[in-house]
Amino acid sequence: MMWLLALTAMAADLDLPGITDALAQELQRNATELTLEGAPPIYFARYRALFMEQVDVRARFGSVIRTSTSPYRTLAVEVRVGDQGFDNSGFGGWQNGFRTASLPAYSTPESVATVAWGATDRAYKEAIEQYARKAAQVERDDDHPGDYTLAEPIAATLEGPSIGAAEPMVQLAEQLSAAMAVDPGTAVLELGEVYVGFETGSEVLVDTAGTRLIQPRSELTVRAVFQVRAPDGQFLTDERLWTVQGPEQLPPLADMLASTTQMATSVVDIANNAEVLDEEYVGPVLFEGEAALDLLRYVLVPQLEGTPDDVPFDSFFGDLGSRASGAARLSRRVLPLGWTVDDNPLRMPDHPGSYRFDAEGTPAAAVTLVEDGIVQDLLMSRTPRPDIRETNGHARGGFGERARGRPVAVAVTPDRNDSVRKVSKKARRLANAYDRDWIFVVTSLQEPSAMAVGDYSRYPNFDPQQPSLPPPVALIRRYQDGREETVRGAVFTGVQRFILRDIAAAGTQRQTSYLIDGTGDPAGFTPTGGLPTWMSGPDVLIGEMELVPTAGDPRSLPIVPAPTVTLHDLTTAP
Amino acid sequence: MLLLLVSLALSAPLDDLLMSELTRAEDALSERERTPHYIALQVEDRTEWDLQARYGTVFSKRSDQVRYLDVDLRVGTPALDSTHELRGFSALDGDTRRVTDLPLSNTPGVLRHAVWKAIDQQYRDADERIVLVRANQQVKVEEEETAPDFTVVPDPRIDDIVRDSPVIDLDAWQPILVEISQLLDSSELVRASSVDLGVEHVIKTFVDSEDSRLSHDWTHGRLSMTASTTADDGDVVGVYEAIDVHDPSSLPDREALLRTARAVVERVEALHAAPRGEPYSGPVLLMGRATGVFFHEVLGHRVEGHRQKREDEGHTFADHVGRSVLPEWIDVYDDPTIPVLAGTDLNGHYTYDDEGMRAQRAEIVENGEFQGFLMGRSPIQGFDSSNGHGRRSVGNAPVSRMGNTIIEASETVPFEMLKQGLRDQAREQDLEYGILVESIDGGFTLTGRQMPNAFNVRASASWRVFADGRPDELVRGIDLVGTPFGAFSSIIAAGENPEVFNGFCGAESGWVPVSAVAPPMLFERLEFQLKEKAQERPPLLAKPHPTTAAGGES
Repeated sequence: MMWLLALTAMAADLDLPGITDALAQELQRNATELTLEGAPPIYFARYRALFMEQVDVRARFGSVIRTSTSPYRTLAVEVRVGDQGFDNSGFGGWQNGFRTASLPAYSTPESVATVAWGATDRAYKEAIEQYARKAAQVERDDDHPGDYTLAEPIAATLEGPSIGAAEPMVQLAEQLSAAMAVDPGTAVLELGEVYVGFETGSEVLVDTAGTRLIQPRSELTVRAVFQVRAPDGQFLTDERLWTVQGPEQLPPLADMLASTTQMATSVVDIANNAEVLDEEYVGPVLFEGEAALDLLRYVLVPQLEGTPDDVPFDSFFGDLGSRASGAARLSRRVLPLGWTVDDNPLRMPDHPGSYRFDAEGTPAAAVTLVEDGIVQDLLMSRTPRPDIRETNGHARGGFGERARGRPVAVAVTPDRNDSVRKVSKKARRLANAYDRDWIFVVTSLQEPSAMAVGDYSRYPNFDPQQPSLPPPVALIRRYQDGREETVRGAVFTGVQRFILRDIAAAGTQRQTSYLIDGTGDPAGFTPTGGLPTWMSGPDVLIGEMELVPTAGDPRSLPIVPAPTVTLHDLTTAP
Repeated sequence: MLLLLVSLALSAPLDDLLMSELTRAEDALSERERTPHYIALQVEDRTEWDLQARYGTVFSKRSDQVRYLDVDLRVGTPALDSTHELRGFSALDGDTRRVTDLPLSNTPGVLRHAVWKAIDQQYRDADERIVLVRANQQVKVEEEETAPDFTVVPDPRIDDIVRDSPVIDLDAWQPILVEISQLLDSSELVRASSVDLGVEHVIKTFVDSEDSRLSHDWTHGRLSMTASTTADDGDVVGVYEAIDVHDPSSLPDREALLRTARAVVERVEALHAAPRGEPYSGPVLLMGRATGVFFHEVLGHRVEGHRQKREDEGHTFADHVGRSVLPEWIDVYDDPTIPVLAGTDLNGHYTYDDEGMRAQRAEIVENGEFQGFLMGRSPIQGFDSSNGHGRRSVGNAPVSRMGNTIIEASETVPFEMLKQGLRDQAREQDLEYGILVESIDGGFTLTGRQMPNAFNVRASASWRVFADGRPDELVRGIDLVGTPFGAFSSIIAAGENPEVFNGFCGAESGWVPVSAVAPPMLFERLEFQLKEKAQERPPLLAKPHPTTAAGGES
């Protein structure tokens, strides 16, 4: 079989300066001429457009399921009516002045202007109605910090790095997915798939304040997803994620293959041999490696996102738009004494999440979020809040909706990183208080988007009102004499924001990348969708957490026995 | 643009592999308390090409290959199996099948793994469902329809008629579509437009527990163009023209397509200026394509065999076999074996249906008398075998569906006489005008018992034909509505030249390609109702940068 796959050469044919001019002119024309008698005027408007070349590959156990190469061109229109003190934004529901529209694969200045014309007309009319809905339900009080902050215009055209060719992506997906064709033993091999999403191109941003930005965008995300069913019917998943700017930044193939095979082998071993948790556990839990960073990602980061939530729209369908997940607040203790957290979008310039200007055209800025364990600042967009009126260049997402302050490259730094031995010693001491000679160690949490592959209903039901953690892939019962037993079938319960205040020890510093959903949900449905984000943080010993058993469902075991499939069968074409 | 090129090893290894996994599953399940009495596997290899131009430029351009698996597995006996209708609260437990995507290569292990999982899932569902079916039979009243659930076909069907994939040069089509798009957009009134070339080549590989092995294919190309505008009262009016072919190389040339595009623009401009119609009851003349859709909605869906079994269906024609339902000069049949009629490729042409049965002509009405139903492998009283109409799109259970529905009139009159008949009828009914439906963009019908047993044929261009001979007047915004028997009893006359409507029909087994072929027909009395109307104001600003019209004379 022969594959030929390449990013198209269309990007080179795009007249990006001409398109940007056309967008700026059309925006100005609309902002000045779009009026309806008695309606609030447009006081600010913005176009953001993406001109990307995309390659997507999906392979299962060494065989391609689907590939596609296609240009991705889209326009986001933001129309604000009223004034920055009170406008159509920040109120629940939809049809609110924020729209997207598809742009032609072969975009020209004329065609882009025509799309913008139609989308702006609609966005303007919707903004007027949303403004009216909001005005009918929301009283403007004196403490209201306003709905938007106008800023000085920026003009810049940035050059992107040279991005490697896409041809190896199919072979990469085939080889990585073949690396998951492991012997399942008595477990049932459900799925071993690799998803590759590679997009590279430019983002254009113009606004009525005069901003005119052209920025490069490039992201290559590879995710290997493995699913097995244990002999008692329990469903287990794990995954490996690489997200970089281009193919040349990927680790050596041999390393990726080894990591993927190790992951699959490990899950199969857990499914076949791990003890099943049979009673609830309350006590210390040590989060090591990826699990430690996941803990910080799910519990800490939402508390540092400062963009105010939408005011709920009391609609026929009930309240629309209430989120209140992060409950960010200045001066709150979120970590122990001596800990700091900062975020700097320019920290890792080679990371696909890094940027010079955010989704609102604001220059990226480093921000110290937590000092000595106490929140000092928040990740901000141009939507003000009573205690922080200014953006710090962390607006992300925002295609078809309000951009929000989100993390980009977060470093969580403890007052000191204890040695493995010292952390173990503290863990032992905590375990002794519970009359145990062991503690539970978590090294990896199941990734929601990996759990949902093949069946969306498996996506964890996160509670927006409080932090939630996905289930661990497995627990390790680590004894004081160094013995280890693997335990599966546990889920966290009753996770509270304050558990991080009681971190008992910080261990080895780690770093990872993950994807956050553009809308602020913990993760997206698709394995390669979301905003690449970087994080550094230590292994973390939590003084007390609660884990409860979750039983496998024997009814989900196959009735027709699985075929006897050899590794050769699974990965070799006839 | 470089496109994905894949060479597939097809057919022989695939059907062997499918059969071996089917046999293995049969063996494995043979000791179960509840066993399958029938299993069929069908793989669809789809290759698709699409080129679309909008705003005077290429909007999208892609080719794609996908491979899907469908498993049809019946637990129980042919007399009563897991597919049997559930009534009442239990009916909430419907078919839970999902689309199963397969690897594009014939790597045995990966394919077997995917096929096994799909069979296991289908068995699990069927195994549960047959228990519900039996309980449902115990607690509910006797069913009106007592035919078995499945027709056993002892002779396996063996065939391999896969042709070469068509060759599509999207690069060659690109400038033509861009030129058409520029022309469509050249009108200041046109708010949205597009021109689209879509080609699909589908290879179906079928095996079943009756030892059938089939490989057959279907190629379809459609070049469509659409343009729309917003009238001053907010009504969005549009024109959609499509040309369907079996061989993409037979699509019209550039000049012909540009002529079509000009006609589309002219019609959009005319509709923009046209008055909105009003509710109406009186004589109606349907052009051939409109007549075809009328019969598709009013008769075709009501003669789908499986609808005669369901207790919640209207059973409009169930007791009408041998009885007159139409004028004696009208015949209706459905024949998927016809590839071309009246010089036009027929969308509803296929060789084998999705239950592995050879396509056959099914007589529906002869000399005005109702003859029978479109049948899949689910028999009904008096009709115990399939006539090759079991159809579905991937991810659905097949049911009886239309293919090429052909309406023939043995007594016809020239079109001008039909039109004069329309005027005469208007005069006789003391009306200012009759309505001529020139074009339609589809329709729908309700065949159940809980809702009115009615139809709606969505007219896209209708004309007032005045009784006093004034020039005809184009109107917009009205749809043809009614009920079956009332509409059929109103047929007065038919014209001479049949026209073909090609489209895709959506129902409980998904979207399937269909055709309807019919002559113009005059009706004594039909009804129109107002179409829904959008409430948005037209764009407040003029369109920017209008593109220049492409060359060529009309």
